[in-house]
Amino acid sequence: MSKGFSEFTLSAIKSQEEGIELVEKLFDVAEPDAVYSEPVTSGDYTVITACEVSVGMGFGYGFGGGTTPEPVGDAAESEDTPPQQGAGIGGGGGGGGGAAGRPVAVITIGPDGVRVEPVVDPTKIVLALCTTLGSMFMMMRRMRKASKR
Amino acid sequence: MTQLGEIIQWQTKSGRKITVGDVTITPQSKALIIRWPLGGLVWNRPVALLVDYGDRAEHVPIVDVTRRVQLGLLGFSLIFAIVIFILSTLKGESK
Repeated sequence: MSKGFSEFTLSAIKSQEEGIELVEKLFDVAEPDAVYSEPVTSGDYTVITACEVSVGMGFGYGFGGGTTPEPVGDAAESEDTPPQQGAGIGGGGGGGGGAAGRPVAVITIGPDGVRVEPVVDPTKIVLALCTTLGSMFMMMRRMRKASKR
Repeated sequence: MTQLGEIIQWQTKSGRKITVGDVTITPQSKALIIRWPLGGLVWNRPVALLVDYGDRAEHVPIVDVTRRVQLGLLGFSLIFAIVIFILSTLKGESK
C-alpha cells in the first residue's frame, strides 16, 4: 500500500508540476511580442500587424487513499474467515482553456512615414447593431404594453 | 496572504525596437493578467507606437475601431433604456 501510495503521490506531483509549467507559459502571452508580428518587408514598405490576444486556462486535481477499518467483535475472532485488510487509493484531475485573437491594426512603414490603419470587423459590428436594435425594439414594445394597461 | 496586486496586474510594456531605414519604432502593449493558483487569464492588446524619426519623436496611438463601435452601441442602448425608463415613470405618475 505505502509503495503504491508513494508512486501515486509522485505521479500526481509530476502532473501538478507539468500543469504549473503550462500555466507559466500562459503568461508569455502578456509580452508585446505576442501582439505584434515580425516585420515583413516588400519593396520600400515594411508591414507589421497588431492583434489583440486573450488566453485563459485552469486545472484542478485531487487524490486520496484509505484502508478498511479493523474488524471488531466476532469477525475479528473468527478462525474460518480470517479478517481481510483492504486499502485503496485514487485520484483524478482535469483542466481546460481557451484562446482568442483578433487583428486590430496594420502598421505600414514606408517612404511617406509610419501609418496605422485600423482593421474593422464588420461581422462583430453588425451583430452588436442587431443586438442593440433588438433590445431597443423590445423596450419600446414593453413600454407601449405598459402604457395601454 | 496573497496581495490583490499579485492576482490582478495591469501592465504596459514596450517591445523590442524595430528599425527601418531612419525610422525606429517601439511598439507598446497593455496586458491584463489575472492569476490564480492553478490557472490564469491574460488579455493583451496593442496600445501605441513610439516612432523616432531621428530629429523628432511621435506617439502614434493604435485605435481599436471595432471595440469602440461595440462600446458606443452598448452605451447608446444603455442611455436609451434609461430614457425609456424615465419616460414610462413620468407617464405613470401623470395618470
